[in-house]
Amino acid sequence: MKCTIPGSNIKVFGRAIHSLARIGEELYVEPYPTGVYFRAVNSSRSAFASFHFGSRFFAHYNDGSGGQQSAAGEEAVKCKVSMKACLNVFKSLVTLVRSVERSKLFLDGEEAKLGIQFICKYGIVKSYNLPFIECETLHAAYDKTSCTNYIKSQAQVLSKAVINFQSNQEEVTLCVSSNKIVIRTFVDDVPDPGKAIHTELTLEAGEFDSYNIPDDCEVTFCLKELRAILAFAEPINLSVASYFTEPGNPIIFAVDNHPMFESTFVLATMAPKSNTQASRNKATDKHTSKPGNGQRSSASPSCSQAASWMKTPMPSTSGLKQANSSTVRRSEQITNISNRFDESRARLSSPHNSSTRGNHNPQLGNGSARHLSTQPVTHTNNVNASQLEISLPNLDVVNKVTEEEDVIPGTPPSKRAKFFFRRCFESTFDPTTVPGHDRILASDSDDDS
Amino acid sequence: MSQLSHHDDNNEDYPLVIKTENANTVLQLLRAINFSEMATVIGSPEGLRVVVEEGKCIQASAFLQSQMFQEYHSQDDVVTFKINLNVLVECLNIFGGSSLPGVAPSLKMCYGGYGSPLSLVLEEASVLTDCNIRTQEADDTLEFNFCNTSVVNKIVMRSECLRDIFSEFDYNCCGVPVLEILTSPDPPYFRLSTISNMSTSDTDIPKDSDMIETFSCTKTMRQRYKLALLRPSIKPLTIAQKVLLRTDERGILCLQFMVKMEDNHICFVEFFCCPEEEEEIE
Repeated sequence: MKCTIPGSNIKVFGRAIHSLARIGEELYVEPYPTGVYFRAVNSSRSAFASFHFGSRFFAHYNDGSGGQQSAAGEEAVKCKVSMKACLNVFKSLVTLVRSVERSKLFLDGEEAKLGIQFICKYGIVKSYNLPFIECETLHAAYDKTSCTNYIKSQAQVLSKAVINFQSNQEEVTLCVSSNKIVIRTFVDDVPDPGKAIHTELTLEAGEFDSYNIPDDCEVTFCLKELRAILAFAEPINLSVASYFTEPGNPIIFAVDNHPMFESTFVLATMAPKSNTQASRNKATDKHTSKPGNGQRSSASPSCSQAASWMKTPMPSTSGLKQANSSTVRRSEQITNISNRFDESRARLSSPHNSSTRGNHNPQLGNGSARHLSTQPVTHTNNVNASQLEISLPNLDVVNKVTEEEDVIPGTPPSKRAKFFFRRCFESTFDPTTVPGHDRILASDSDDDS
Repeated sequence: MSQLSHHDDNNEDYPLVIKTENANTVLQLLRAINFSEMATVIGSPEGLRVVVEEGKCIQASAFLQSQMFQEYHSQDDVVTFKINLNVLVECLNIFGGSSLPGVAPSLKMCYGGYGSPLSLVLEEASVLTDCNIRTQEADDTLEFNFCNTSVVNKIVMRSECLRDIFSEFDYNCCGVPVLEILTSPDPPYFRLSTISNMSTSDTDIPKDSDMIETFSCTKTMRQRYKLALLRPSIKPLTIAQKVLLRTDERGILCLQFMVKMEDNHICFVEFFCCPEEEEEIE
């Protein structure tokens, strides 16, 4: 591929790169005869962004599929480059706009590099070489046309609405009805929802250029990606169209400036609450395995759960697969229980207070927990769990949780676990003061030493 | 110079006395080289040189000529001392460093000799501030032995040229990013390349570009410098009008910045950087 971006279009192109950089770690470049796609997907595969620059956008465009004489079947090289390296090239848009007269982009298949060349004022030429990895097309399965709900407005309308939300707000819920749209913060999994900041604002149907909402509907999605598209669309005064159907199905934001460029953002929406137990297990599993002080991933687990529509060439994480077979589900429940048992035992017998939530005690928990979960489901696991229940009558909290697990299979959300085991997280908590702390109820099944 | 003159009593006793109507010029120059905490001040009859070094690899020095001061009095021999530059800059900025031209505190700076503090008296709108900053015994400063005769390649250019390029570098890139400076009498004449784990970039500046004022290269020189070491040169680049880039036979880089002050005095800031060892390349 070889193309030349005229100086007047550098800014738009740079903004597109900045916008994509908010989504993913890698930039996918896919040239086609009609134009080139730049795409990104986030790490949890819950957001996908695609920019298409038509050949009209460029002063010169050649997709490099060898159109003239070579084999007809030969396709232009598709690749991905490090987003960080690419973003660095377009770091200062102000400087670019001021100095760059035109820019050349080319993919060099032989040297496996993406070349970006800026021809600047005063005859200065800057050339960047970013190594790339060849890859397949990044493709998200979505269909705008089948979406029942459709709204379109100037980017400004949405960005003025979005600016009201706190910058650390992760998800928002879009409630649409026939005459108005309410955008409000989505609060989930907070120990005290009363303390969280709730923001809600209403946009009248009249503020939108097009408004087609046949049925009332509520969709929840990540705000970060919406901000990314608005940051692109607002400065060029384009309108943003949104397409969506129902919770659990993706919401699509599109900016169209055909034939120059168009961009599409596909965001996972949160699946409705009444989901299958299996998926709930998955979601909570993900939660508990996260270190307590670690950053929250950009998408909530249930968002990534809903992202199973995403088809990517990368190996999909197991979290995306719906586990429906009942045997799988049962074994999961049991490993959950055994994990929990290990976790609680680790806490009880650990000499120092472990402050990380959901992390197994490195000395005790990890090895045995792994061992248990890989073991075929046997009777002993259940025995262990019930033993725990019987032999620790003093620990009400533990009892409560195990009882609950008898009633509702599956682990409670991590926040609730923290609530129940609150005392264990207090700095004054000394596990050696707990009665029966020195009694080992079940020795390590796997001797690590 | 209203109230400052009251302090004139015994100027002769001090080895170093400086007075200026505009402390901001001094402040501006010192800020440009303030990449490390301690600075060595060398006062001579010609002027004041403030030298900052880091890791025996880079050195920046600002030369404040005696002519830029209303009064400059230095004993015949050289006065040297070491001082905390952060504190000195903070004291000079005690009135908040108004950016309006003409609104600047006046400054009197005295040094009483070995072991005594550097005293500053700043006055703005009849408000007087006295500062005493402890000084330390000066260490030897790095001597790069950079003499004009050993200079191989010399390029004078407008500072914007380098400023834009230097400010775009990704200094935090993983690995140890380096800048390769190629100066040559043959094409590509003048090329700055960054090499990092993630990417490489080349910037070619043609020798007949409007940015280049003088281009005199006698030999092809290709030297690598750690980007992190060059980073402190951005500050003087932003206040300079012109830059003189020189490399000598050993590959030591010398950037000389010409700074035109508010009061039209011309000051110079020099920046030296050692190249990477040849063995380390590849």
